[in-house]
Amino acid sequence: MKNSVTYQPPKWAIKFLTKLCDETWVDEILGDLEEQFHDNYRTHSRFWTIAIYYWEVIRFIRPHILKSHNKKTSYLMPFHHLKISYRHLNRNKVYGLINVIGLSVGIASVLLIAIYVQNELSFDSFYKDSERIHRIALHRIYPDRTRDFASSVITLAPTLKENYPEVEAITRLHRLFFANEVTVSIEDKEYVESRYRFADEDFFKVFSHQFLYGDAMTALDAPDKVVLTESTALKYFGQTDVLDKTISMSLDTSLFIISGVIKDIPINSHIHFDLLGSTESVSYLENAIRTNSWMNPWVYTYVKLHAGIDPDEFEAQFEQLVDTYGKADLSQRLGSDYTEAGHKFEYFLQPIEDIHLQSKVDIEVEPNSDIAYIYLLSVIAFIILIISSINYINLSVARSPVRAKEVGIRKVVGVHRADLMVQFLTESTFICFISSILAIGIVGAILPTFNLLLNTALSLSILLNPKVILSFLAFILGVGLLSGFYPAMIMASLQPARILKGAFMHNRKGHWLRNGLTTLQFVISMIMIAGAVIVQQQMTFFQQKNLGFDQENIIVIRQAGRLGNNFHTFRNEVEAMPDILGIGGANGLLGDFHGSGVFKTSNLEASDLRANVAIFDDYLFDVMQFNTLEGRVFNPDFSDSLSIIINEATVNSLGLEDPIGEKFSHA
Amino acid sequence: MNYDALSIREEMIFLAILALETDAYAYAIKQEIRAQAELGLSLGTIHTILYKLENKGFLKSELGGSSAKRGGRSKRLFHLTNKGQQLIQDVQMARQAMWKNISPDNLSLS
Repeated sequence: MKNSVTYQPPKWAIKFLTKLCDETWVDEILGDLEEQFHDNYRTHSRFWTIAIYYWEVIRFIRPHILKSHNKKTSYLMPFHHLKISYRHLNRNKVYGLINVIGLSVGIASVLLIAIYVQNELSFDSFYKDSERIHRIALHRIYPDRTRDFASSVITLAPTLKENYPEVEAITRLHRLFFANEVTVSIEDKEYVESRYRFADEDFFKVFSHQFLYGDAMTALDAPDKVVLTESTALKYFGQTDVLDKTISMSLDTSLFIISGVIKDIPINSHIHFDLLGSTESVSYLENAIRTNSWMNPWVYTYVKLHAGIDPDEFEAQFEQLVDTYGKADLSQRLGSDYTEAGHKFEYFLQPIEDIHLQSKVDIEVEPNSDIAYIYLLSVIAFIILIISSINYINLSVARSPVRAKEVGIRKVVGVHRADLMVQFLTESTFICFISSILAIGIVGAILPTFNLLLNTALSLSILLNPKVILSFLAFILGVGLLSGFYPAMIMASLQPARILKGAFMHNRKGHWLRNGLTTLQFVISMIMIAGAVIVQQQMTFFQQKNLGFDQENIIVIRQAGRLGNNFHTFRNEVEAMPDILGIGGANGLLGDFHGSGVFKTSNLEASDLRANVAIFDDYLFDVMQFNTLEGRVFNPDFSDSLSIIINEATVNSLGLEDPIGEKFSHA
Repeated sequence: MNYDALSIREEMIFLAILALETDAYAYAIKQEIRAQAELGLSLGTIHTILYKLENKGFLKSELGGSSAKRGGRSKRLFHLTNKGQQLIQDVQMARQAMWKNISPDNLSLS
């Protein structure tokens, strides 16, 4: 049993009641409350005991117990105002409905944008000590151009780890840049995975992923280990406890042992993977380590600095880093005068929390968003809010003649102007409050669709945070005051004598302001509607733009290359089907990147051209109905093993007069 | 008759005071109503009703009987005035008179 003597009712509540309550009653009321408190303490939790106490105190706020000098109307006026607001809404349901719906749609838009922005700003902040984790990106200077890479060389991490005491942990992450799809086999089942990533053994020292099974420290300490996410494990095995089971994958002949299962990675991270293997299992990375390569930015390097280290000071030391440790290798690859020739490798830090919105470099792990969108959305939210406020203002002002009698009577019985202002502000805040509740309902209803559209996992649950609740209440109050101020001023300044004589006329002075507000409202609305229409047309354009080939009734069979020698049989069988007009093959999906090369031609004035390359078979051109401008396309009647087909853009950039018969060679 | 002014809550408070005899103060009344009628009234509600009934002359009260559990604060003990006793009995008589004419067959009490 809990000791009831040591615990006392909340002092603040006692003080409050003592201050409010007339002396006649205060003693007995506090006595009753305290007796109940001790009884409750025996049967309820401490939280509930206190909560009940507060609740009872609140329930005691009734007119008859107040101190006689407190029995002024001002204590009770808010209730009166609320009652009047409610009655007005109730009596003029259409007007009330328009007002409430207008405001709630506005607030719902703002709320939705706020939730989205909050989610965008929260990227990667869920990692432990995320403010100390940075990515090391590369500003690469070539003799004739520069390029920023998100990635860095594989030797960077071990060099920093060994030589820089500021580093608490450092790790490398690799994604397959070209062979994006990996086939994973479990017994007789095969899965094509596009989120197979690789990391070194320190990955989980930098990124605090939660392990359901396995040990974070040893999960990737051997080439044949692989870590799965929870949903991947479920997909493969139907259970999450899959430690020490084995999988095989298409890039390697060996078996991989599952050494850990982690919780699925939240959507608000810039790194996602379904399987995480060891960088040691990727042969070309191992090669690069063996040869101590400082040339190719093949991995992402993430560093966690010790607490208290200034990232800027740490970054400043990078200047000598490449020269000190990489000179030998780079001299060998680029020539000993590579610095003089204009080659430079400048590494810099990117705080991981900023990567999603602020990183503008190439070869990202995943596509990022942009901070400009966040600003734009915030401005739009603000504008929407202004429009709905203006809407409310105009509606209220338009209705002021109806309220004129009420104002007249109030003034006659001695209500001050300030009190009238308070009344109308209470009313607007009340309407705003109702609208907000409706707005939360609207957001809750459309959030699933919104998530589907943007591929996000937003939820209303972020509203449950006390800080958010407080700011939301402040927001409601703000909108209420903002939209209520002008109408309140108008209505409070009505002249009682004239009103009661029935001589109420529209206030001419305010016309320009109301007209101005209406105009502004329409202008903003039209701009936003025009914007929405343009976006809509842009989307239609994306879907319907002529791509130069026939998109209708085309089916893609991925991974068909794995048919191997059976491909021709497959081809013939498919072609024989009555519903099939034709079948052709390529080394990848049209529009995807399948590699590039630098080419030159006999035109010596044109500079060499880097062009993307795709490989088609003899039939695909006919199947896809490409437009041929000159010459002929690949055809089974010819042997085209030394022929290439180029597009208009290539002809133009190489400045070819007569492209047919032109010889291309690798530069 | 003036018992048309008596609400169910007021009636329960009357009955609770009678049942509690000499120890009828707000918190005890609250417990009695909860125990017998399974009705949870807040102390504020009870206090307001007691105040009203006293103003109407149905109740009388005096201060007394403090304890450590109450932080040494005294209780306000209520008892019914003659007028109050008359009222509650009138109510009960009227009820019984009316119940007498109701056939039990018309009620589906479980």
